[in-house]
Amino acid sequence: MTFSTTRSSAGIRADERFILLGRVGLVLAILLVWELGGRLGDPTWVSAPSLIVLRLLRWAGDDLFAHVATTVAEMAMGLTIGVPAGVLAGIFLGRAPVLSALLRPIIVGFYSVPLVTLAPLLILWFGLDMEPKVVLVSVVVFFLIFFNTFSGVQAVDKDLIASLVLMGASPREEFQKLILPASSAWILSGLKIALPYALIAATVGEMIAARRGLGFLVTRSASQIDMTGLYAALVVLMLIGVAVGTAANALEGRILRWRVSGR
Amino acid sequence: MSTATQIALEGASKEFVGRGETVLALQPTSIEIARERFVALVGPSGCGKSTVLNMIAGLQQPTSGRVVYDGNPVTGPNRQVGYMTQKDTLLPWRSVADNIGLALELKIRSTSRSDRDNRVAQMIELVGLKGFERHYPGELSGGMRKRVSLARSLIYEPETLLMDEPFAALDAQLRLVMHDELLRLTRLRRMTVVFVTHDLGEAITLADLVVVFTGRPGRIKTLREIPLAHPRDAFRLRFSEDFARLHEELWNELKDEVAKGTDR
Repeated sequence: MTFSTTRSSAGIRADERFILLGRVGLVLAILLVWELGGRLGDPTWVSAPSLIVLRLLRWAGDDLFAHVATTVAEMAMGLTIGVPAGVLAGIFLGRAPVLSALLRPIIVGFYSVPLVTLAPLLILWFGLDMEPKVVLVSVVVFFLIFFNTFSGVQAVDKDLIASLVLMGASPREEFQKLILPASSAWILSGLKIALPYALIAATVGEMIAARRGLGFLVTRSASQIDMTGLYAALVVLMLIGVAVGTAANALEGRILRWRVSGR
Repeated sequence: MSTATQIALEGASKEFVGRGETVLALQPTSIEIARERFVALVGPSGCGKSTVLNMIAGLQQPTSGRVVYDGNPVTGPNRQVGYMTQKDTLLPWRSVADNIGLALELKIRSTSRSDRDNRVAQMIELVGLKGFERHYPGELSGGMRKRVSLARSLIYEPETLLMDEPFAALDAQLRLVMHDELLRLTRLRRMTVVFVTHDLGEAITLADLVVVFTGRPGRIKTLREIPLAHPRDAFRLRFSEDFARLHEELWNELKDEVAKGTDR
């Protein structure tokens, strides 16, 4: 319980408004300098915000949404496979100390490879379409979720387990009422890390070889020395990244009310 | 062993291995605890009191000897006991009410939703947590968390209650209130209680039998019946002559052990 509201709420609101206005001003200033730099200098290398906006509008009338849909679909499918697999494997191995000790060197070895470097291999195996990217996203997400879930299950307080067992909980109830909720915070923090990595994995895969997707837009523009196109693709990626991050935070805040409100 | 015996230690000892050394925590100890008795274990830190509770709960196995509960040797978690450990074991993601009702959600004592809600509400009233039902443990003070733990242990009326310094974190006034409540409830529900404490006054107030342990490696030094009549008033009792006499007698037993403990 806190009673330490020493400042008036009106004062805080004024502060918030100042920060909001300041942020908008700062962004506008940066865009203005960029625009001036582009117009006064050589637009081939620095482009300009106005050119990027025009390009995005032109792309929007063309196939931009198909590229966005491709990248988002690769992420979504990869997450759909990688998250449940990681959670299940983490819980299973977390509760099986002998098996996890046995598998540890293999898992650690595998994970020690920077996973996005698997992209060329996967492309050779699965072709140029979405499959290799989906597999890459799945693998990256799987490991992140797996390690977090595994640590979460291991970190469940032994005294809590004992108290539940003495109360008469069956193994199943122990799992439902303790292991799962106790590791949910870890699973969620794994998910929070995994979401941006899913975007990284999908776009890196597309940059290496693809016919569609935002990563493909980036490499295509770069190969044509089309700076405006390159920046336009990066702007779209930034927007998706922000959306993904916001979603992850909202999800965490919603489920972990007990942790946010306490201590 | 008589039929009235609920818990018996039969030459039970406990060694711990740490840093390659074997440390004897509890010398072979024998004691019988009758049904519906309130037994307090007192002694200096590290004398094996908590180990005794862990062995009765079946969370630790004796190195030699055995622990018998209700005529059967304890070899695994003992589900006849409610155990209130020193550390609180509340589930941080559950509200006060949901923590207290936890035991009633389990299949072995399937309870209807409305029955459960009623009993939880009663318990909350009893331990003075009305208005805090929807709070999470992280939002409560240490004393309030202790009261939640107590309510959680009492609500399912285990046959035996094991308590490890449950009130050490409470302020003096609240501790007296809790003593009264604990006495009333455990007598009403005819529970057997084994209660570990550092506080001799607390032991005399609550117990029918006080067991004084020596310093490490612990063994039983003295058993003392507390012939104070029930119902007891935790507050008034402290000013009675009987209380003072018992306190002095037990303190004489305990003080050498405490002094030995601080020499090291």
